[in-house]
Amino acid sequence: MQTSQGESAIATGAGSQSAAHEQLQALYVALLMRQERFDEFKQLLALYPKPGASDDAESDQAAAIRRKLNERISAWIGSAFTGLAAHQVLVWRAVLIEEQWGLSLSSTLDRSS
Amino acid sequence: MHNGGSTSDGNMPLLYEAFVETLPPALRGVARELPWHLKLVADRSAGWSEVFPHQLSLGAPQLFAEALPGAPLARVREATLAHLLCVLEAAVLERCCVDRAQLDSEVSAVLEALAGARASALARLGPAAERAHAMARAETLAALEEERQILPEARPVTFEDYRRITRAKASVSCTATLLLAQLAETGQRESRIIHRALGNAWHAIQFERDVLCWERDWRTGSAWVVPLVRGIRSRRRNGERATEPDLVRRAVLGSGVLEMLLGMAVSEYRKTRRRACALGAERIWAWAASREAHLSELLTCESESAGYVIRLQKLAPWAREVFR
Repeated sequence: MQTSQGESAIATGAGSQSAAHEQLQALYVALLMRQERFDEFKQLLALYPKPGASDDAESDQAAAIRRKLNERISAWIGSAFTGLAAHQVLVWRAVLIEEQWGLSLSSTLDRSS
Repeated sequence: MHNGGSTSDGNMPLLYEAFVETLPPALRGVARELPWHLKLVADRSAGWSEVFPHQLSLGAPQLFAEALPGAPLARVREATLAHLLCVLEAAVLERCCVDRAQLDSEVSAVLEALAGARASALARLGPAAERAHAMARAETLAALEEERQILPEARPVTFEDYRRITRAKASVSCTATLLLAQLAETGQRESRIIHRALGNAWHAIQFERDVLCWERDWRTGSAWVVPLVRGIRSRRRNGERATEPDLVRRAVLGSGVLEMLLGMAVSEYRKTRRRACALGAERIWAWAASREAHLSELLTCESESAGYVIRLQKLAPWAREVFR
């Protein structure tokens, strides 16, 4: 039986989400197992600037740090990492640098926002 | 005091709530939020079980009662209440030795009431109770004083001193259980095993806690790990003294002290388990066995990669999201 275009799109979307989820799992393990990676990850997160109240877009400086972070993650997990989005970097910055434990991290898994 | 790990806290909140209900209504709110007022927790609504996550810490007599068939239920309850209040009072002492002057009058009134309730609860355990508690309290206070000489400046310390001070700090946590054992006419051998099992358990809980919370403790000038590292280093070579946070962290991870402390905690949990088995104290046996197994796994990982246990905690929110 042939699938419709809509079903294919959903399947592809679900597939890429699942791949992204697996990459985040791989990143978790990479950070857990090696202190120097954990330290570097935290260092780059700490450098990532928090946006001001009126900032809508990510600054060039922030984008450059995020690019560097994503390159390092790709090197650690050994596969083409699709990259942490700006909002994900901010959430992880809040959790690991500012130690805001009560944050919901669900958005870090939502790659489309 | 004891912290770290996880078990349920049984009926301890009910016993504490019963104490709160004896207070004038104006003090009850402060009493319910006492851990927060004493800066022992960040969340205002957090109860004592957040400070003492192990059931044994606040409920030792109740758990050891399984091994004391001669102990009437009413006595077990009285001993458990006395124990709870002794431990809370010790936590207060530990916290307030530093900044008692900063406590407001309502908190001070609650602490006074707590001390009074503790004295009454102990008195119900017999004429020997107050004297036994006074001796234990003196040991605890002396240990706290010694701790205050070491921790703020992170003076080098040996593992032997660390063990001794940790054990002495927990002295008040043994009194009520041992009194209950006496009241239940337990034999000398069993009493000795109970005493040793308590010592092993307090050591294990404290060693575990001192590993898991070392970075937070370091920020507040109360980490044991750093004086231990300095003790190790001063035996190896003189003079080196890291103070920058990154250097301290590197020194701690490079020293293997976290692995050593975890190994000590595993060993103490194992002794607790064996002694609980000899006594027939099933719940303590199950708790100690579970902690021993959990920490043994952590120890293996920590041995393979220094700092693993700390990263595991820091990445816990991530793990909850990506592995659910």
